Amino acid sequence: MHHTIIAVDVAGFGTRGAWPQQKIREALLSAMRETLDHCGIAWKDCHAEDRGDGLYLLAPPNVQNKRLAECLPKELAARLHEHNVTADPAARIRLRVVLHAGEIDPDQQGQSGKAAVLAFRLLNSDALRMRLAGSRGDVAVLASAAYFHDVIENYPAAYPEHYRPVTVIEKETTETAWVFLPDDHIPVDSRKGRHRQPPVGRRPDRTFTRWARPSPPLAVLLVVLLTGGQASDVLAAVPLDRQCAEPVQLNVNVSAEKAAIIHKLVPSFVEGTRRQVGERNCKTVNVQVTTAKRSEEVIAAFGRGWSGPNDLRQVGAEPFVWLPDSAWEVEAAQKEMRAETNTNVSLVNLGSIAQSPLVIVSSRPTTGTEADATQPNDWSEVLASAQRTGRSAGQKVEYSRPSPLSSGTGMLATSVLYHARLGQPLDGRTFTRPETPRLLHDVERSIPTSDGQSDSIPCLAREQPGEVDLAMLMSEKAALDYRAGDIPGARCANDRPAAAPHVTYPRDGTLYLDHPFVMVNWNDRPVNERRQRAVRDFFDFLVGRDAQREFRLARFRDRTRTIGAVEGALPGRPVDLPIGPVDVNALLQAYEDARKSARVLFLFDVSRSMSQTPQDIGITRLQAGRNGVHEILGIGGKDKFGLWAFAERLDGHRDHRELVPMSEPERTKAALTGLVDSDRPPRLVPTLREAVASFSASDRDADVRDAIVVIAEGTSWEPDTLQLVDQLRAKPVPVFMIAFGANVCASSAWREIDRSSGGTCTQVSNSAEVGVALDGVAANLWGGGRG
Amino acid sequence: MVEIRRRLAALFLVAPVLCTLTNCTAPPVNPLDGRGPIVLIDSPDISSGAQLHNVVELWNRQHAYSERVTFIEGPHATDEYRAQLRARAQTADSPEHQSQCYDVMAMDILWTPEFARAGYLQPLDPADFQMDRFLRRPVDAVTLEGRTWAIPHRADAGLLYYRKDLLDAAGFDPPTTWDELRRQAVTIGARNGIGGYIGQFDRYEGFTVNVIEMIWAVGGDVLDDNGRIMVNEPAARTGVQMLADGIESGDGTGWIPRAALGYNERLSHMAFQDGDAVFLRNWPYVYRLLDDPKSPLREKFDVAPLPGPSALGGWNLGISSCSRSPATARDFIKFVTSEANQRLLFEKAGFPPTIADLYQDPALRQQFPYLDVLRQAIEDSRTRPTIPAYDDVSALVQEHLHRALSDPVSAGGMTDLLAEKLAAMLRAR
Repeated sequence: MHHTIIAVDVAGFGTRGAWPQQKIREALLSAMRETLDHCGIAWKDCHAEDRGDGLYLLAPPNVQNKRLAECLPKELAARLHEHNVTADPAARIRLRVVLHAGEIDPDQQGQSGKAAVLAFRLLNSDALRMRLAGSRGDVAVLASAAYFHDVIENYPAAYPEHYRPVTVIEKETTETAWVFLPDDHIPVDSRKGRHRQPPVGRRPDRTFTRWARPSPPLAVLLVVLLTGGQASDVLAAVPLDRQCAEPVQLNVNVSAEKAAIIHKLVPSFVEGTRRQVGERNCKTVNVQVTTAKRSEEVIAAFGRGWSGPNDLRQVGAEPFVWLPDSAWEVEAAQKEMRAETNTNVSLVNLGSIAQSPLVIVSSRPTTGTEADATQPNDWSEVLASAQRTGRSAGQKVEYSRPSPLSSGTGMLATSVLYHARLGQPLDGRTFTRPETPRLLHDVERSIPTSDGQSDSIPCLAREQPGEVDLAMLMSEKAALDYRAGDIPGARCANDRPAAAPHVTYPRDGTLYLDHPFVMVNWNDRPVNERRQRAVRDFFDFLVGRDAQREFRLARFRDRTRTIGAVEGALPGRPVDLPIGPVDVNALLQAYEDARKSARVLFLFDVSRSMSQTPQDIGITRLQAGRNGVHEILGIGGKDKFGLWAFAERLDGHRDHRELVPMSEPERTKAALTGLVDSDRPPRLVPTLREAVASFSASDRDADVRDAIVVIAEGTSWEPDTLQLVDQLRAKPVPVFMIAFGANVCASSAWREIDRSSGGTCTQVSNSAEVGVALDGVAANLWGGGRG
Repeated sequence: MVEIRRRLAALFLVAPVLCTLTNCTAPPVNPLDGRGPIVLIDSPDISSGAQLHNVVELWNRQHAYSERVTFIEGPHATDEYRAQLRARAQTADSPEHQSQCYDVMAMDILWTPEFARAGYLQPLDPADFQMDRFLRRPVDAVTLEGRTWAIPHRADAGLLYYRKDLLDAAGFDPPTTWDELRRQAVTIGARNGIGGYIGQFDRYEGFTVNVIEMIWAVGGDVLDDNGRIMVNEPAARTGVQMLADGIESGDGTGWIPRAALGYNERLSHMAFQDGDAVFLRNWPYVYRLLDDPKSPLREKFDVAPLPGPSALGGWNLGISSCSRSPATARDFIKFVTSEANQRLLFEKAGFPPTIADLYQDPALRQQFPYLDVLRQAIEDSRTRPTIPAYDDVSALVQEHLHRALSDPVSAGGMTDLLAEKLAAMLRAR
């Protein structure tokens, strides 16, 4: 039979003395009687049952539920207020009230029914306690989802728009219930004159149906509970505890992405591992959760066996459980340990505790709507679109991604993009190909990492002015948090609400963060069996039903890749992108190199020797050089280029003319076409010396790679080469000579320049060879000198 | 203790066997006399010029390699630092893993009783360390059931830093009650367009300290000495409400800038140094930073005791029960806590000494006039509850009262809820 339940609890009852408790009981009973009477329910018609510390009432079946919902909250608040203004402070009443309707077996009208159990859970929920504590009034009403939708929602007199949804999580119960604070008024003569907004009601975003559905015939069940009825001296004198064994210490290192959920789950885990020892309910585990600032630091600390002088200082306590975002991080750490021949630590991946695919979030949909059909086809398309938008000035979409050094998400994002650009498995061999550094540098320019601020990426989006559209690669979890305006950890300077962003999933598949649970064994220490057990227990807890539900609520996918009902998420399971094995450590190294920006000064020989047209190519050497250089000049990014032309006495008494000072690549690109050959004899070294000096004079930055690229004929001998070599030895700037003349690179002068500058000399004869030679330059700039 | 006895017994049993194997005739060595290289762990040495490193270096120069001290700096955050100590104490207690033992541990005074109860520490002989030379409060904090478990190394108590220039201009003496402080904060703050009072009100242990000091100041407590809940009694409520009403609201009332709800020691110090407030509650180390030649407040600030009792802080040095070289460890602790080295560490790093005589030293008093204030603050200080569940108590205080301060309307309700949660938590133990 369908019933309505009203559950009531006095806040802080257990902490009052015996006398105030008696007063409270009397006042509450009287307030309840008067309220019910006023709302058309005669107290004498209710079936009452004394539960010792509470009261159990069954109201007549003909009760008007709508009238109850309309009347009870405000009337009860009024009656309590009446009591409170005159009562002794210790006997004042603040009340939690639950309204619920559900099936109750007529033979089991007591508290054992399913509906009653839910009512009690709602009544004891932290959500309700917190709302009451934060209210100016004395009453907080929590309507269950069923009661709200069946009775209140469509009945304007019950003020449905003043109810606010809250998520209640208690034991096996997860429910969106609705809170109403009937007497949370702002006193007019408030001393401090705080004029706050009254609690914002639900937006009236749907039309109220004029005729509510008729409620089913209801018998009303009334439960008045006075819980915690112990006398206050029960709380007195907590003796010093000697019976409990010292809890075992469990240190957990967790990625930033999971920090909030793990912090939230740990107390339940700790509670669940309490053990009864005699009269005592002993804590058996202490958990310390450390949030990893950058996954790179954790990986490096494992590599050193956590014994580097700064590992404890900077990275935190030695973990027994490591919860990174991705198994790739574990692989990287293991490889690092092998490289350092460190056998003190071993990492055991017990399995995934949650999943989250890599997605793209954009402040405006990339094309049209969010429908599945408009999802990008693959990651190459994403990359191409990033490159395209960078080239055309009108359409501004700024792409970004987290750094692979800071998080597993960054590793995944980097891998999909590198894979899309290179079209090769990301193994060690791919990373050593000559064209790889240039292509990867291209990725880094198109979709740069926002290094060191990966967890504030959503803030960046919020703070950007509206004319710029943003697209970010991030985990689905972070994307959905961002979409819901729920950005944990990030303290955005600007609180302006962001427009709901769009979450897109490339249709050919994506990579998943698998959130592994890694047991860390310290082989140089004795095994602490209690701790080993605690580690296993923690894993079992995290993959258990309750924790998995929490992961879904926190917008992760659970370990079976099932996602909760979250708006904006792609239903079902996005497919895996098969990219084959990834050499993670090589990937990280390639990233470090590829992201460096460069300052490159091109020195173009415009002497008469460059006007020759070799028979096999049909254009002049100068034209061939220009074409080759055009290829390497990228677009956007932080790279800077300069362009000088040189020949003997080209510019009055000087041998060179600065056509473009160090600046954006577009200017150099434009200026290339203006390069014309002259009839002057070649003369390089004085220009080269000035070029080297120009670098020495400016600031050097470890993240910026400098280079001088000379495109010249190069065969003429010049006397002051020795001074140049001395200058380079003192302040090396790599000089890359691309020489059209025969045997230039074999000359002792150039071998000496190569050695002292760290550059190379390459002999070429056409545009294509210039291109290859410049790949070599790129490899040096963005490939850690490989290639 | 059972642990220690068992291990000692084991050692005595093992020693003769070793002797027969090695054919030696010397009597078994008392394990408490063990000497050898040791490991010291302390929180990171952030003093200018790394003074603690220098003291360790000094020891190492004076001692043979066989008694060398290796100094390990633990995590910055104190909860992590403690987690590291606990974890090691729970694994390193076996002879074959000696290298994993932190022989000498620097501990916050809050943890010393816990570590003693857990059996992580060796008891020390107070006479051996001439404990009567030390300040009384810090010694009380390392004494449990009449035994000494650690040696006080750095004393700490909250101090009231104030803008002497602004108080002088307004004709005020430093306040001696919170009411007076509030009035001065309001008057001088408004006159200069700056905040009144700031402390550590972000959600961490510092918050508990700041709030409990206010509760003590009005005669209340969170728990009394018997562990009875006091936080919802009228006195404590008054203290909480006073802070909550003090937080600046949108209409310009209040004498504590709202930003202070996000301040820890460092941020509150920076805000004060930037001239954002008239008063700052902080620890003694801040004195040196404000007095630095580069500080904009040099000559413009002074320091006074808090209007009420301060929470006692400080760090102690104890010897791990896993140490096989306790004699070296004891000598090292005597060395570090000696009058000469405490003087050095105070002069160079600003570590408040624990030896009483240093506070009377004429030369030091002349150079550091705040020594008197410091001593008074330490002597008048109180200890936070020393129950084993202190962490949980503090976490609940932070959770509920931080909300109370963020939204003064909820202060009463949050205090009630805190009392309820404390009761449930203490019942469960």
